[in-house]
Amino acid sequence: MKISINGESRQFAEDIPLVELLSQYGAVEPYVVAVNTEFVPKPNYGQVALKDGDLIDVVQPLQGG
Amino acid sequence: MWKLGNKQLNSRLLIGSALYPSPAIMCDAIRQSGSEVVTVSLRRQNPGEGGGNDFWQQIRELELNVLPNTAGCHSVKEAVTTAMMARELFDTHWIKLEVIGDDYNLQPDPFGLLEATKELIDQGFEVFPYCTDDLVLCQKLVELGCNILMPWGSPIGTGQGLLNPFALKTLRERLPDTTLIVDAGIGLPSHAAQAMELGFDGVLLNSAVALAQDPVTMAKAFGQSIEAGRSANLAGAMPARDIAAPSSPVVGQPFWHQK
Repeated sequence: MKISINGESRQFAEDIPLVELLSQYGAVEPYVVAVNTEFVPKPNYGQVALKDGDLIDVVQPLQGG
Repeated sequence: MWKLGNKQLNSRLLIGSALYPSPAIMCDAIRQSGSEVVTVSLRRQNPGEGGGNDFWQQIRELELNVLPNTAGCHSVKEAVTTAMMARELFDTHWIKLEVIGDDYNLQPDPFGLLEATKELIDQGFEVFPYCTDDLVLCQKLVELGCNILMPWGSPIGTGQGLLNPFALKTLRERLPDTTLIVDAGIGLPSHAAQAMELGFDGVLLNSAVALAQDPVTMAKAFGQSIEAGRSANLAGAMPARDIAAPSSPVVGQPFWHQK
C-alpha cells in the first residue's frame, strides 16, 4: 500500500505496524508522530491500523524563535 | 527571582535558538545572555540527515527550561496538534502558541488564537500566547485562563522595536496581575530596556542576537539591558516636562549685580 511519510510517497507492505514502518523509514529518536494530521502518543502506536493513502508526519526538535 | 508559570527564574530574558551562524555560537550566546528559557520548534525529520539528535543534545546540555513554539501554524487544528506533539517531544506543558493570520507581517490571528488557547488550557497546557497588543484580545485571553501574555513589539524579525508603546503601557496598566512579555520585533538592547521600563516582566527575542555581527557579545548586552530596564522601572522615573529646569542652583550665581 502507498503511504505518504513526511510528504514523500512510499510503498509499504499491507498491514504494516506503525513501529515497523517508522523503523523502515529510518526514524531516529527523539521524534513524535501524527497520522492523518492527528497526534498519536507513543503508547498508542500499537493501536494504529494503517491503510492505503494514509499521511504520516514524523517530527523532531529543531531550532526555533 | 520571579515566577514564570510554575518556574522560579532569575533572568527575565527568554531567547530563541534559531538563525545563529553555528551551533557553537548558539550555545555561547545563550549562555552569555544569562537566559534560563530557550525556545525551540518542531519540524519534519529527515533520517538521511541524522535526525535532530545533535541540536537537541546541545539544548539539553544547556540545562535550561524549554519553551516549544507552534511557529508556522495557520489554523487552530495545526496549532493544537503541534502543541500536543511538543508536550510529548519536550516533556513540558509550556507552549508558545502562534496562530499566524497574515503571511506578510506574520501577524497573529486573534480569533484563531482565542480558540486554540481555550482548547489547550482545557487540556492542561500553560499557554504563552503570541498576540498583538490589542487590549480587548488580551483581556479575553486572560479571561480564558492565560497567566502569561506575549504581545508583539513589532512584526517578527523586523528589529523595529516597540512600535506602539502606548498600547503596551495600556496593557501593563490594565492587566497588572498578568505576566507580560514582549515577544518579537526587538532589534536593540535599548528596545528591550524600554519594554522593561514600561513595567513588562520579560522580553523574548531571537533575531536581534542571532543576526548580530557578534551574537555572543550582543547576547550579553541584552541581558544587561533587561536588568537595567527592570531596575529603572522599580526605581521610578522622573516625570517628563516640556519646560527646562536648571539642575545647578540659581542662588549665588557669580557676576550678577543689581543695578
